[in-house]
Amino acid sequence: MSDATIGDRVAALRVKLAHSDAGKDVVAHLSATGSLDTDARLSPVWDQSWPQNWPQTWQQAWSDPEEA
Amino acid sequence: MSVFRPLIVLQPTTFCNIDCKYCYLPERSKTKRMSPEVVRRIATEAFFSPVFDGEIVFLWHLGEPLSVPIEFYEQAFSDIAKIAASANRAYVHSFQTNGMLLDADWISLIRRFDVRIGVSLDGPAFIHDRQRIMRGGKGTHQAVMRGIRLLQNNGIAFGVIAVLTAFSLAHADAFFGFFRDNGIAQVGFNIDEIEGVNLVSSFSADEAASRYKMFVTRLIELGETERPSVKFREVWTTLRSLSRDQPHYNLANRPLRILNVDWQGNFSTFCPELTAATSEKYGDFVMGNILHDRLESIFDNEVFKRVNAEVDAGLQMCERHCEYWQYCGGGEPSSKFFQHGRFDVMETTTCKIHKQGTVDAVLEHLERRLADNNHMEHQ
Repeated sequence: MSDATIGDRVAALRVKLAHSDAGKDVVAHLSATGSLDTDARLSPVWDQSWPQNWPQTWQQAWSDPEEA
Repeated sequence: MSVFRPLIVLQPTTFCNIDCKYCYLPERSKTKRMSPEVVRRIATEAFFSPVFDGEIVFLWHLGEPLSVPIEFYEQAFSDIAKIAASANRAYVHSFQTNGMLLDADWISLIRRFDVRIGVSLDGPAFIHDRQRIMRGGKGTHQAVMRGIRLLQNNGIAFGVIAVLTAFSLAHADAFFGFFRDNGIAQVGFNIDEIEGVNLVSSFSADEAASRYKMFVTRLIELGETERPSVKFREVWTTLRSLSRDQPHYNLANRPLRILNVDWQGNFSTFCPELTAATSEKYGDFVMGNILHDRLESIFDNEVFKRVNAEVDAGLQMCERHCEYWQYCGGGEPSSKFFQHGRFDVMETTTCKIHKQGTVDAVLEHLERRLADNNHMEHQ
């Protein structure tokens, strides 16, 4: 890994996931499997730290991060 | 109105029916119980005080909540419902339980009052039974799984919180496979920390952060390929903070997002773990008593003012100097206190392992996935 900061890496990641074909493929795969989404408010304790209007799925989260 | 829901952590009893090796609660052999008067005062203050808005979560915890008779909750839930109705306020109840005392009567109560359930379960028996034991030393895994089967057979959804020790980190596949094979879909983990009366952590070794990162990386890989899958709180919360240009939110390091109330009605804010702490500087962290004080009086309480000023100073240090700030929201005050004896500090061992380790694992995983996909596109 280069000397890039975490912030630099995350910024690059957001752009790639939202706009590159490779990134869209990754998001599509993760959304299809659902393996990394949360789909329920099973535990209020876990859900506490998330505003209720935040994205619940991969596709929502990465579809257009610039608009967040 | 805030988009965040206030969390009120209530201690119905000091007692716990088991004796986990890493537990931070000092009075878990005593059977002190919260009075109905304390419950009613909490509800009245919570629903009518200007400090809370939105739906309130009552989390019954800080002792085994099912070790008090069901009648305790029949009355408590009924009283809270009446007060909520008079204030026209929404709320939910939640138990964080070891699940061992669940039976048909508890299932009935959980259904009637729509109680959310979190079960404490550390994974397969060979991991769980090392720490979560009876007072005589016998493991509790079998009894916990009986409770989980009861929840599942009755269609009651639940989440699991697993405490990770250094031992767990060597067993990612077994850890994942256990939850997958038992139909447990959502798991969060806490790490074995020095806090309260727990004076030793298995994570004190230097290599713990890298071992934790490997553990999480393996869980992410398995989550993508194994079916049925298991979703891990740490992963999805990190994904959300990585995906959006909004700071991660940490419930525990801002005042009155969590209100902790012990069995006597003593209240405090920030991390529930601080209810088990004492210090010369901050006393026993009591910031008022619900039987005598209004909730908003906390802002004039000297202990609160001292702790709040230090917590805030610590957060400012996190924000200025830690590159993980955006994805963490600042370290846990209780971790800072138990490790450093104060709150106006920045990084803790817990930060390095639990927070930074998760961000590193998720970020590197995504970067690898993107590199792989790019490579395939160019072939």
